[in-house]
Amino acid sequence: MLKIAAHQLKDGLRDAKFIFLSALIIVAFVANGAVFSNKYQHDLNDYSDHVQETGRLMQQVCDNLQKLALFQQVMIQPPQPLAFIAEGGTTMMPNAVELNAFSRWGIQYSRRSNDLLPALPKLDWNFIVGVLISLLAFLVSYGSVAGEKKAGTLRQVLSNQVSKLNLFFGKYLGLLAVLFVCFFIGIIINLFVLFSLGGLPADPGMFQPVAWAILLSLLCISAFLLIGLAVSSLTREPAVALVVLLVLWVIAVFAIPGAGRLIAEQVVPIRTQAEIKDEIARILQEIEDNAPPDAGNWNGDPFAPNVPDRAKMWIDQRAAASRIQDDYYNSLILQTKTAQTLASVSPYGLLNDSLQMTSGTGIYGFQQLMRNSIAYRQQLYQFVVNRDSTDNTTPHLVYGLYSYCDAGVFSSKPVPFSAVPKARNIWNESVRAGDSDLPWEHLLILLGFNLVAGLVALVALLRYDPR
Amino acid sequence: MFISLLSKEIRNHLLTFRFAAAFVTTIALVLVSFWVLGDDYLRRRDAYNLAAEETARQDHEIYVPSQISPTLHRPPSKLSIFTQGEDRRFGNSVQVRRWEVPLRAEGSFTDNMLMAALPSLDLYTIFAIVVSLFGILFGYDSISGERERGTLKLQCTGSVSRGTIFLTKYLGGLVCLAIPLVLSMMAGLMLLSFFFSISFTFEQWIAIACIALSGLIFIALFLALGLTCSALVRNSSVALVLVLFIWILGVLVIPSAAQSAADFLVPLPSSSELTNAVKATEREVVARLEGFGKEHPAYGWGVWSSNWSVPGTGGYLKYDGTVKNYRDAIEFVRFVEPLMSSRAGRIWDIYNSQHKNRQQQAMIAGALSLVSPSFHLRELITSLANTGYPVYGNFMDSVRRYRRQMINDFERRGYFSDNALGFFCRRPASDIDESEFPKRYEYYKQQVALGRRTDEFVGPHLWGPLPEDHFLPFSHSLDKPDFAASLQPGLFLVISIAIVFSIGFVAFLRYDVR
Repeated sequence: MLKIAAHQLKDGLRDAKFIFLSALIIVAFVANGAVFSNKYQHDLNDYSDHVQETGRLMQQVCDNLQKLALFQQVMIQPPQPLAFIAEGGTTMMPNAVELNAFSRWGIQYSRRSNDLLPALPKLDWNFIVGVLISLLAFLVSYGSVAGEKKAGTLRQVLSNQVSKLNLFFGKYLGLLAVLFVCFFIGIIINLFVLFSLGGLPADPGMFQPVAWAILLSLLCISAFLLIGLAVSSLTREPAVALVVLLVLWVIAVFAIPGAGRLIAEQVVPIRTQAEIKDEIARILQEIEDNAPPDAGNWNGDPFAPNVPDRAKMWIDQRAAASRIQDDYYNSLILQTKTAQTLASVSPYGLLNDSLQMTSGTGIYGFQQLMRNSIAYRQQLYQFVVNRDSTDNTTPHLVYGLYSYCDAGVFSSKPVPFSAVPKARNIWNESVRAGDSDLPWEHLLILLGFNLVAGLVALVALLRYDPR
Repeated sequence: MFISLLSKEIRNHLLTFRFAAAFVTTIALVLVSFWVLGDDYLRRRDAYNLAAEETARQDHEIYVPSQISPTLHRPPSKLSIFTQGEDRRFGNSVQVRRWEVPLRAEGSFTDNMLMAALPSLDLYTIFAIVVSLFGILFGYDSISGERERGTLKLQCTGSVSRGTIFLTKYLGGLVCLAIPLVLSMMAGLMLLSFFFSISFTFEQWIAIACIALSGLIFIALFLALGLTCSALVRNSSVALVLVLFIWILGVLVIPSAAQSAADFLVPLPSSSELTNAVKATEREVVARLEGFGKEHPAYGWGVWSSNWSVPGTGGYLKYDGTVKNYRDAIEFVRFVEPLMSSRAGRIWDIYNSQHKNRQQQAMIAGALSLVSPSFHLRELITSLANTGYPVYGNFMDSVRRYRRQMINDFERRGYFSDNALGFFCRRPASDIDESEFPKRYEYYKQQVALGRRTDEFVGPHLWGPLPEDHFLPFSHSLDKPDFAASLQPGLFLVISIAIVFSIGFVAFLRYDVR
């Protein structure tokens, strides 16, 4: 068995298709390192400029707690160092939320991106493994059984006291080794380029997701290889095997992900932004209508008897509006995740989704932005409430509406800048808490793919007529 | 002789497994794609109609010229059924305001911005990826494969010239590849007209025919490439790898890599540069408003910190209902109107300078993609379907022109920003009798004391809706194929076919058939 594997490996490495395509793959890995390092450095600079500027502006309003509570800041998602693994459309997604202690405005785009360029897949690991190496896997395997049969060598091998089981494992391991050689050379150069150009921070926290990405990629490569072997053992003509595999490849890599999006749009309907706007306006009006009639009045006295009603009305309005808004964003997330889940019927789609999950990019990154912006606004609000509770001159009614609040209803004393919660700390905390799920399910499904394709290939080979 | 050779080639192809695969795959994918995208188009069209109706309704609830601020909508492109292009990536609605140059369209009707980067299964994808692969499969072994089987030698020893053999091989493959393409397009179009009752204009029919033709051109290119690689090497499996290598590079890698390289060569300004420049402009405006307030202390000036949403002036007067108060207000309007227009112009300038940078980057990316056939195919199909960036860029341009017209109209009629006066009116400032102001102020106070909201006692109760001619029609002919723009990429593809074919032709003439 090992002899067959070694033989396959030697043959494979000398093969023209391997040399051509693996050269392309390695170049792609190098390009990936250069491109993503450059982008990450840019993003990192922009981010730290932004954090500094926000800090400076925030410091200016620390002389007055009310001003601080109303201070509108844009909370930007820090650049994701692992985007090189799975970019996941991150550059096309909103990455910022404007908020103050009372409200979160809509989501925003705050990054260097060019609308004029069409949305194309980026040269990330997902592309290199899922598109390029998967094609290579099919190319090295399509002739391995049907081709040998045609050339007559299969009969020779089998007559040489080699069991079909051994033949299968020998072929599988040998070809897998060929693909792994290509992959490992690629990622070693890739990681080296990333490290030396500053695209990957030397942070032990990066080890786990990169290791996961490698594991998932290997499983995906192996799944494609086994599918290739299965098809090769199910057909008698290598030309037919090739056609079947190329059709399968097109379906797995392009048709299923494309169809996944289209189907998700049909099965998970989302509401239009205009509807959301109308509903918010309606709810706000409803709360206002149901509030005591004098809740709308403000006569400048924070201790007036109607002020608690007013506070309750405004707080209710804010809560209702943000609930509708969040429901809307959740439906967007659900639709996107459904599209990715549907695409996971194909190993490529599964790899895409799992790599995004491990590297916290794409839809998973957006989800984190939503979670963290909610948490940060609450922190800010809680901070204002706590500071206000130490001020005996106010009625302790902390409420506001976008950029306005009634004077004197809560404290307007200065606060130390250092005590104010900062957006960047939330991100640091969520990274430390390991705020990303591990794709165990994806791993199991990928293993399942391997198992099924392997069994089909094995059974087909056992029943194969080598004549 | 030529005909019989050609029919033999066609017959040979028709009996192969790959023909069956190409047939089934193409028809299935095209039908699925037309089905889903047709449905999607109808949904977006309904949403557009709804939004347009809503806007028209809102227009009729406007009673004063200063409140005219219509929302303009971009209709979904009907030909987006064939190629989605960028049609769905950009917003569809813009609210036009006098004191703001629209920079970008907001909110699309049904779209999920989180899925902007996910691929879509449209005709472009089917042509660029699926059909071109079949082109390769039909071509790669037709010379080296026949040599391996020994049939090539037989063919070439006859009286037929090698040129004819090569040509019949090419045309035979092309006819066989055209069959599934044409049939699937026809089936898909029938599906659209029978199930979805979508009809097209004559011009759109021509565009659809051209889209199908561009698919055919793309196949012809990859078939020629397959044939040429087959004629360049002796071994069909080497030919396959060679042509797949070129395919991957040309179709998948180069366009993507060109974008990254352009990003490297022409770095974009950071997004905070725009926000900071805008903020700096706004700070200056606030400072000037505050300066005005200081110069006119008698006004009882106040400036709201950040109430910049439209059509806020950022400042307000304390009203006391005197004639002097009215004159002060008019003076303020005369001050604030040019200030706000210049603010809008300056923000637009900042945005525009960044836009030039983006255009430059896109140009570089385009130049680097010139060797990529899929880049040309995309340009070709999106300009035929008019779903590329220009459809959005032109829409935004016409929105800006509309805004200009709206302002000119407003100024021509002598209207002014009456909201800065604290009351609305529908006459030019020159027509207003100063003595009306105290009366109006009394009326306003009475109504407020009765607990009525402003929208209940100004507007319809005073004047009725605005005359129709105050709402300028917004006309834009966007749903039209752009044939002129499709010429260049089409020509590129045709020339590349000629080049690739000639190389293959020459290689075959010199081919050693043994």
